[in-house]
Amino acid sequence: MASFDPQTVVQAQRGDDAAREQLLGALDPILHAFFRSRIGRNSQVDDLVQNTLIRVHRGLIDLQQPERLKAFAMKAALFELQDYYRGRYTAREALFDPDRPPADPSSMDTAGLRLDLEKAMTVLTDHARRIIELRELGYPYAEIAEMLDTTEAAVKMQVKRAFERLRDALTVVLLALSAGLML
Amino acid sequence: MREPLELLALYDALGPAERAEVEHALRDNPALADAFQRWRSLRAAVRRELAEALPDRALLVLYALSDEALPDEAAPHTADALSVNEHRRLAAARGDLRALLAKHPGLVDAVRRIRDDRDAFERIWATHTERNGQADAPRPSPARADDRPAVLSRRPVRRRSPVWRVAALASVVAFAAILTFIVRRDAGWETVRVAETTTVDLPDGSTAELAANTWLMVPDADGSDLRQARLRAGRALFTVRHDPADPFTVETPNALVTVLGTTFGLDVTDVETEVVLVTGAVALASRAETDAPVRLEPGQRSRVLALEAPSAPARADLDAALDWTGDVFVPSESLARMALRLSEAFAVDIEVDPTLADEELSATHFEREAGARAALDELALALSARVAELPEGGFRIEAEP
Repeated sequence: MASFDPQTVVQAQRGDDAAREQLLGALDPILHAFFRSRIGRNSQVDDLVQNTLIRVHRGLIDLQQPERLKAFAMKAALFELQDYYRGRYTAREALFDPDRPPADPSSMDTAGLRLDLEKAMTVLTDHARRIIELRELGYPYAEIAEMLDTTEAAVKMQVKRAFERLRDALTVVLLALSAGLML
Repeated sequence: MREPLELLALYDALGPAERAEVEHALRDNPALADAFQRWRSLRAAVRRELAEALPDRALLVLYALSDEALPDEAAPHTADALSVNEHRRLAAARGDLRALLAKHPGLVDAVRRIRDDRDAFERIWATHTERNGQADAPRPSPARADDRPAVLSRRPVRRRSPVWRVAALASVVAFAAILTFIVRRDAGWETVRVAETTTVDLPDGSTAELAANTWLMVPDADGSDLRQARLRAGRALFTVRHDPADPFTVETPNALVTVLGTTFGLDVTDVETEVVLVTGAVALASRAETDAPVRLEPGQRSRVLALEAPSAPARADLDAALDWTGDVFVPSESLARMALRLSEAFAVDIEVDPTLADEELSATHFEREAGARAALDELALALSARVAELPEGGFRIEAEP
């Protein structure tokens, strides 16, 4: 009997250990190949496969159409991949800890200097904004470059320019403040 | 070397050395530090806004897999992998999602990326099922493939009548069932499974004493990073070669133990990792939050259950936790109390010179088979004292004249 035959799925749902072993054993190399194709030969591929199989194992009983196992396993893998990007596997670099006080609190609390997100984002180009959003969604720069059909160096250059624009905008604000033009 | 502005802008992708360089530069330049802080605030605000607007990333996956067209797509996507319930769930969130996609171009790219992921999955599925004739040929279980003989040096260890503890977590059963499929031999790793208590020499010069039925993976001797091991299941007592510049790590199914040179015991199942520290220092973290470890002192224990944070370090009963080794473990305490423990463990009278009784000694362990005299000689050596045999039997630790 084929591993992904609906009958095998039904037997696994009914608690047949051999059918479940056959099913999950057949999924294992597919998931390894899939995750390696998405994140490379990363040491966390094993974890992604493990947790995807756990998702499949736990959710199998609720799969109402056994012939849709492929879609079912694919969704489990895609959910797990999003968890990976979100940072559940490796504590992603904390760009900013909101509970951590700034290096110089007095400089941050000066009236008028707290740029809100909307104003700050207007300083950035649409392209830079896309890159920053993708980065904050957890995608590495190399993958962002692939998504935007460009090179990693070009993506990083955009980020650097965004930082420069923000710094320049801040300088204008500071000058305006010191001249009493804004308060 | 990259220019400072580039380092600041890409701080999130820097290694430790470059970060140290950045932090040093910021100390000398308050204006730059202020700009950097604002940059980080901006990035954090973007992240927070995305997380608050889309707390459940699974919805993005469902949206990508549905027949919804993206803002700049002429025709709707046709493939639909969603179940009826998932369609209902998506329908409830559709309006909000559309608004989000209109506002955040990065999310549109993420949806496209998920569709690429889906296409990659389908290609790989097709390749595997075609190659394997619908994958119907029974293949050897990867777990069984792991059972090939290990090439490591092993030394069977003395006696043993291990006292086994019954795992109480019902969920272990489910995990154990599924994990039989996911274990495979990684390139560059050797698998060790032992039928009796055995001491294994690790490639970096450290050792691991394994209880029966323990499953350990160690790097190949010709690998680039020898300061690591994976304890998949069972119990082990590691004695790690001291090298503060190159910490040794032990990865378990749910936790990460970072070791600076020490002796510690591990008790591992699929969903639980317990560490008891005999000497030295270890840091224990859940694999879900490797940047939030707890640091154990000698004589303490901590536990990671599933992917929760480690429990607060608490005093360990070393003897009970490591009973399976057959050795005698003593926590940090005075010589008088340590002598009392050894007296009970070796069933022999031990007297202590009153001038030494309050001397504090660090936690340690003794091989039971080496006997009481060898254990007392070790203690005496630490105190520059000596051991004398009593005429009526037993020993006395006394100060050197």
